[in-house]
This record gives sequence, C-alpha cells and structure tokens, in this order.
Amino acid sequence: MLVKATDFLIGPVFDAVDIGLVLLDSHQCVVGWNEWMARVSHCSAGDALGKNICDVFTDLNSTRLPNVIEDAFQAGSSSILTHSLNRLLPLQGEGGEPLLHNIVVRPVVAASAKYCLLQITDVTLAVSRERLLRERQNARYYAIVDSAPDAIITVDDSRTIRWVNGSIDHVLGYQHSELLEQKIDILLGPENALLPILAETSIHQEIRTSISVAGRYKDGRTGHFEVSIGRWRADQRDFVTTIWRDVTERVVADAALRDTRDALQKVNEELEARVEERTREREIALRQLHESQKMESIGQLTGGVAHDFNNLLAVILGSLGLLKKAVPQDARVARLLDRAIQGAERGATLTARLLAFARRQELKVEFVALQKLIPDMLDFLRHSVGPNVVIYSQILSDVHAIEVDANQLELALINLAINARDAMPQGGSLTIACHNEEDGKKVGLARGAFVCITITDTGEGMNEETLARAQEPFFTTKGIGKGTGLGLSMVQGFTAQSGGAMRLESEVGKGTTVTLWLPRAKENFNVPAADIELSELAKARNLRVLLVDDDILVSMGAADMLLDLGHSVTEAQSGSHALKILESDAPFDVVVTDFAMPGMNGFELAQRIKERNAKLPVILATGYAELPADKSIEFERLSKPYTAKDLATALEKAVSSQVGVI
Amino acid sequence: MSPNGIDLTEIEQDALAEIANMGVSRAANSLRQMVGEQVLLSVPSVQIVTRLAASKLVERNDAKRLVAVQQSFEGPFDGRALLIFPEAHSLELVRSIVGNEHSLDDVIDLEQEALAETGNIILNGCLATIANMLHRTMRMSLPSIVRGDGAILFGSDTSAEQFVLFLYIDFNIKKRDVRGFIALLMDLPSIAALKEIVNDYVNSIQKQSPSHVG
Amino acid sequence: MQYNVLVVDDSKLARMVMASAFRRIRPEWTLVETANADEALAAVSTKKIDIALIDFNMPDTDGLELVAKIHKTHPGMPVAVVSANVQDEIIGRARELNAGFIPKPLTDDALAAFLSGAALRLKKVAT
Repeated sequence: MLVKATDFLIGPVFDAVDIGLVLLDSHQCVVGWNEWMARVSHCSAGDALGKNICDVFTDLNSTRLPNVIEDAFQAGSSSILTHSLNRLLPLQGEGGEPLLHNIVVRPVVAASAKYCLLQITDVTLAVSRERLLRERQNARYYAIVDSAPDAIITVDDSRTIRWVNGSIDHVLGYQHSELLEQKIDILLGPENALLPILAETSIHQEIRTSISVAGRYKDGRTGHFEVSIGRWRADQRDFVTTIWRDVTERVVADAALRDTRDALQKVNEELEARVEERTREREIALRQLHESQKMESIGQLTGGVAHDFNNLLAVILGSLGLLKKAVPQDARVARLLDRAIQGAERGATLTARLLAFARRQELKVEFVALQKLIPDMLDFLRHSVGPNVVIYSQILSDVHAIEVDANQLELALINLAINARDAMPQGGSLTIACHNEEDGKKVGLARGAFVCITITDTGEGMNEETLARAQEPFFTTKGIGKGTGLGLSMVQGFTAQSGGAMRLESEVGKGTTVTLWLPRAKENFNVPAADIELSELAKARNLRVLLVDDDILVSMGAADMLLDLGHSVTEAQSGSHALKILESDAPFDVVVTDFAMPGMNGFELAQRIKERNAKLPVILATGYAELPADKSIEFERLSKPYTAKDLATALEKAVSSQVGVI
Repeated sequence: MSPNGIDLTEIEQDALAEIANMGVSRAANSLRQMVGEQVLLSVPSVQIVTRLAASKLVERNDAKRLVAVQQSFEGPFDGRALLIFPEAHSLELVRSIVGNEHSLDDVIDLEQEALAETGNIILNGCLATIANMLHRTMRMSLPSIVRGDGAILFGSDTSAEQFVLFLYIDFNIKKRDVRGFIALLMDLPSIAALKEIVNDYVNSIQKQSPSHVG
Repeated sequence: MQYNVLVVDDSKLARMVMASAFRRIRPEWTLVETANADEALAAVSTKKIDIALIDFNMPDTDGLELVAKIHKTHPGMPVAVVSANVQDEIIGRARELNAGFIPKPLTDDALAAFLSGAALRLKKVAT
C-alpha cells in the first residue's frame, strides 16, 4: 500500500528533515522514502518505493538490518545500529565521500498495520568535527610527544598498554603495533620498581619524581631507565602515562667508573703490598749481607789463626811420624807417641773445620756417588749417634753423582748426625735421604741440576730465634764442653764452597731437617786415579826435590819427610831464591812449593818455572784455598798438613804425568 | 523473599532462565556477526529480588563504578531493563567488539555509542525472546547510558518499580570473560503479570503431552 | 521401528518443550530425560539409547564435549545439539563431531526432520 503525504504539512516536513526516513511495511517493502534519503542514496523515491529494502540495497543481508527490522515487527524492539560497529548502507555525502551514518529502527503502528521506520542520521560531521578537534589537539600534542627522545607509554588500570609514542622504536626496539594490547610487564625486568607503583590504587593524582627501573629491550637485553609517571582520568577511567628515559649508558658508565675505581684501589693496595714486600726483602738481603760480612771477618780471623796452627801441626805431625819410625818397639813409648799423634790429628781436624768455615780450606773435589758413600759410612754414623737413635737411609737409585770433597762431605754428615743425636736425649730417629732437584733457583742458587741430601731428626726442634742463630759460628745451645758451636757453620761453609747451599727447617717438638743442596757432577768429570799404596812407592826412584817454603820449621819437617822417602832435597826460602837455584842449572826432578809466601806466591812461582822449563813438574802445597775454583788445575796440589803418604802420592803423580808427556 | 509472596517457583525459575538463555543466545548470534568470532553468553541463574538487594548485588567485588545500558519496555508488563557492567569491563567489552584497528582515542570516543548498541542488542534479544515465547507484543525504547553505583542505577525511592528480575550473565568474547547483570525493574503488578504469563506458557506445554518420562 | 531417544537439558522447561514436540512427532518412541552430563552418560551406558538430543548451553558442561564423549563409546549414534546459539563456530563444531543441529526455540518441523534422518541412518546400519 503506497502512502502519499496527504497532510499538506507532513509531506513537506517529511522531505525537509535533515535525516533519512524510510518506512517499511510488514513485508519489508519501502512505502516511504524521503528527499534526504534519495539524495544520499542516489536512488529516487520513484525507484525505491514498492521494492523490498533488500532489493534497493543489494548488500543488506550481510548487515544486521534485516534481522533488526524483523525484530521490530515481531517483538516490537527498537534498535540502534552505529557506524562504528556496523557496515551499513552505501550512502554518499555532497562531495561523493562516504557518509558515516547511524540507523535507528522503530516499530510504528498506523491504521492498525505494522510498519517499521528507519531513521538514518548523518554523523560524518559530528565524527569528523570531533576528529578534527582531536587531531588539532593531537597534532600539537603529537608533535611534542612523537618527537620526544623518550618513549611514552600509556597503560590502563589493568596494566595493558593502550598507547605508545613513536619513540618506542629507537628507545626500546618495538614497533608501534607490537606493544598495543600487551601488558607493560613485557618491558620490565624481573625485579623492578614500576609494577608496585602501578599496582597502587590511584586515589591521588600526584606526579611522582622519576624512578629507576630495570627494563627490557625487545631483543631481551636489560636496560636502565628513568621512568616518570603521571595518572589521569578520561571518561571515568584511569590511565597511567609513563615516560621512559634510557639511562643505560650512564648507569653502565657509572658502573664502569666504580669498577675502575675499585680496580685502581686494588692496584694501589697491591702496589703498597709489593713495596712492603720489597722493603722486607731488601731488609732481609741487607741483613744477610751483614751476616755474611760478619762471617767474612770472622772467617778471616779464624782462617788466619787456623793457618798458622795448621803449619805448627804439620811440623808436629811430621816429627812425630818420624819419631815413631825411629823409636824401638817400646810399647809404652809407642803408646805415648800414638796419643800425641792422635792429639795432633784431632787438632788438624779442628783446624780443618775452622778453615772450612773460613772457606779457606782447599777442597779436593771429586766425583761422589751418594749411593756408595752414605751406606759406607752408616756404620760409623751409628757408632756416633749411639744405640738410642735409629738411622734410616732413603737414597733413590736414580740420584746423580755430585762434585764435592768426599771427606768434607763425610765430616758434614757426621756433624749433622751428632747435632741430631744431641737434640734427641730420649732417643729418636734420624733419616738421611737423597733426591734429585732439577732447578737450584728454588733456593737461590744458580740454575742447574742439584742433588739434595736431607737429614731429618725427631728431636726437640728449634724455635724461630734459635733457628735464625743456628748457623752463626760459635753459637751453640749445647752446654759448655758439649759442643764447639762450629758444626753447622762448618757444614754451611762446606756447602757454600761446593757451589751449593744449606737450608734449615725446624719445628719445636717435632724435629729438624737440614737440607744440603750440592751440585750435580758434570758428565765429563775426571775420576781421579786411585791412591797408590805406599809400598809401591818404595819402588819409586830417587828424586831431586826443590823444596820452597818461607817457613823454616815447615820446610825442615817437609825436608825430613822427603829424605825419609828416599829423595834428595834442596831448600829455598822464597820464590826468587828458588828461581835463582833453578837458573844455576842444578838438575831437579820436581819442585814442591808452599803457596802462601810473601812476595811471589807459589802459584806465580810455578808459572814462572813452567815458562822456563815446561817439563819440570811443580807441586803446590797449600792450606789456603785462595785459588779461585775456575783456575785450571795444571799444577798438582798437596793439602797441608800432609802425611808422608800424601807427599809420596803427589810426587808420583807429578812425575809420572811428566813422563807421559815426554 | 517470602513475605511478599513474590517467589518464583522452581518451574517458573526454570522457565525464565530458559527463556533468558535463549534470549541472550539470540543476542550472542547478533554480536557474533559484529565481532567475527564466537560469542558465548549464558544466564546461569534468575531470581526476583528487591531493588535494594539488587543495588547491593551489582556492587559485588567492590565494583562501585558501574555503567549500564538502559531501555524501558511496555506491554503486558512494564518496566526498565538494565544491562550492567563494572566500568572497567565495559571498555574491554567495547574493545573486543570494535576490534583492534581503533586507537585508544577512537575507542574512548566510540565507547558510548558502541556500548549503547551492544546493550541494545542484548536487551532486545532477551525482551524479544520473552515476547515471542510468551506470544505477546511489547514496545521498547532506544538505549541510553547510565553511570554510577548501584543506588544510582536502580533509581530513586519514588519509583514504583520495587522488584527486580535479576539475571546473572556470563560473557565470553574474544577469549575475554566479562561478568555482568541484566535487571528488569518492574512494579508489583508487572511482576505478577509476568509470573502469570510464564505459568500459562508452562501449562500450555504440559498440556500438550499428557505424560512424559521424566 | 521403535527407538529410545535421550534428551539432555538442565532446563525443565526445555525438556518439557522437547517432550511435547516428541509426543506429537514420534509417539511410539521412548524419551529418556536427563538433566546433566553425568546422568546422560550413565543412561547411555546402562540403557539402550539409539538417538541423543543435547542442549548446548548447560552449566559446567560443554554440550559438544558431551557429544564427543558419547561418540567414544557409541560411535554410530545419531546425535543433535539443541541450542538458541546458532553461531557458525558452534554449528561448525557440531558438524565436525558428526552431530546435527536443531535451533531453539524448538519447532516441530526441525525436530521431525532430524528424527527422520536419524531413523534412516539407524536402519541402514542394521541392514
């Protein structure tokens, strides 16, 4: 049924209104279509009237309209359809642009018939005006906000990110769309100060000062941020806007600064410690130097005394020896003589010790295999220490041979054994062990291989103070008459002169260990020839000996010895005297000269003789070891005091080597 | 609620719940078209309470800030229908319907409109279903938005509408759960009329099957 | 052929509506009414049920899940989901489960159509 606008006002009003009016009958056919509607739909009333609305707008079935219209008829519902939630009708504005519109659907009853009225309202203007306003506001706002170097993030009261500015890309690494709808939690490290603040209910609107937050970049790295927070309300909703300033660099720099400062402090402390240490070391070195200088002077003193004493002993021993031979086999006389000889020999031992201490004693350096030497002397050692002390020996089979004076080594070991015994009045055990050491640098020696002999006792031990003084000569803790106090210093001197060192370790109540570091024998060391028995020497020929010594007494003693051996002797009192005698072309087979003589010493004399007559063997007799170790051993040496046997051996050696040359 | 004798019998409760469920399902169907994803709506329970009780019920969980879409209806029974949410949820609801392409600004702008339409769809769904099932015609107004606490929503004391047909509803849209209420505020005659109509309906069904295995 | 039909709906009204329509369409068949999923599963295992009509919208139960459960033990049983919720997703899921769909409010025609179809299927299987 078509309706005409019969009432003269209604009709014009119908077409004058600024909204679209469409009236549908119960079959959803158009029975009213106003001017406004015709204009915006580009469909005239003539074309629309009578058609089903779904034929006028062909896409209508994909919208809510048909159902809503049906509801209006059946249930009497009134409905609103907004442009924001629906795609509605294809309507156009003046300029041809799409017309944003809302539709209200109302049932209408007229003349007992049901109709449905659609009211279409243009909201474009309102929408665009609002949008324009907003955009104008926003433009200024965005200009500030998007150009801000800091990231700006707005969250709602469920911590969901609702808005971000353009800077989130370069500050946090996220794209705009990646953050919307996310919880702000994804930007935060596990322990951060922001979440608790966000959780606070926002009764007060105060703007807090910025807080330090540990945040997370998109790539997962942690960064440090200063975040300022502002709360605001819109439409009775609460929002929080946060501004994030990346201060990681600064924090890192601060941390680096702190680290540097700490490092610097540490370096300072280390430096101080090192300086302290060096100072201490220097002090120790100075003390040691002082000590050794002290030792030197003491040594010099004792050395001088010992030398003189040595000479006297030589005379005594020599004469006693001859006496013994000359005297008939009277038991009593023999006994007396023996006692005298023993006494003199003991004196010789003593001076030997002194001289060793003074380092002026000459060492007869030879190739020593500890595997043989120590077991050989164990019996003697056991006698020395007595039955209360058990001796153990642990000599590794691969221990190298060493270059030392074997006698002096034995003496040293005896000294140490006796010290050990004295430290164990209740008895105990003594262990002698040997092992190789590859590098002497450990104890301050020159590089190279050494052999260590350790003598360990289970005695009283020494405290620090005693330990420090133990190596001092004449220092002894043993009672008067019990010890000379020279033992350790003698051992020390011996090891030092041998090119090694001695080290002491001790613990009160536990015991003491003395370690002797001795240089390993070089491969090509000459093994000295065995001693020649005296009896063989009886077959030695008669030698013409030039005896040089500035000391008359010694000279006489030596001369007697020589005569007794069957040689002829000419004596000279000085090197120059000897040379004069040699110039006279008197035939000599061998020269025996003392070393220590005023003016020309024995060595110089020997050299002068060698210049003149290379074939004439020279024997240097000396108690002083003033010859530096590196001087070549071109002259046979004889240690004072010497026995007749020593003399004979030396003569034989000197002469036979010459023979070899010829 | 016994003093006034406005209790719903079990069968009345059942019937109203079923009708309401069908109503909101119908609404959900409509919403689904807009949202593009499955929308689940259900009415777990129905009861009649006083206005005062209703205003307290809607403020549960301390949600004093509420937003409601309101429509009035006329017909065999008159009253006001309210679709009520905690304010915090309403934006959520709108957002889930509107979609993500809108910025926060737009959504805030749109919120009023979108909420009005959404509420309109849901309330119409219920009211229309009631009308259909009970074979009655009604007239309904367009939606308006009201904000406030329970007291504001449920009107002044001078209102004659003393009773509320109170429905809890559960929404699930785009994996978001939203809880809300539908309240039909009616005066005593209207409630009575509603009850009568419901009973007639139940009876008519029962009459159709003399016996059924239950 | 006489069949036993199970209806599952928490609403007594809905069951009444169903029963009413049932009487009109298939008076010779038997209708078993249950109010929730547990009762339904019990009925299916203890009684001989040929066809099931399940409400989608029940508290604590997803109607479609119940369909799946019943099909586990009775794969060939014709089943329909009854619901006012005619959204694509729901209908789609029903189809996936090989279940029919009957919209609410229930019409005689819709119910009749489904029941006829079900009877036909059952007959085919029997032969």
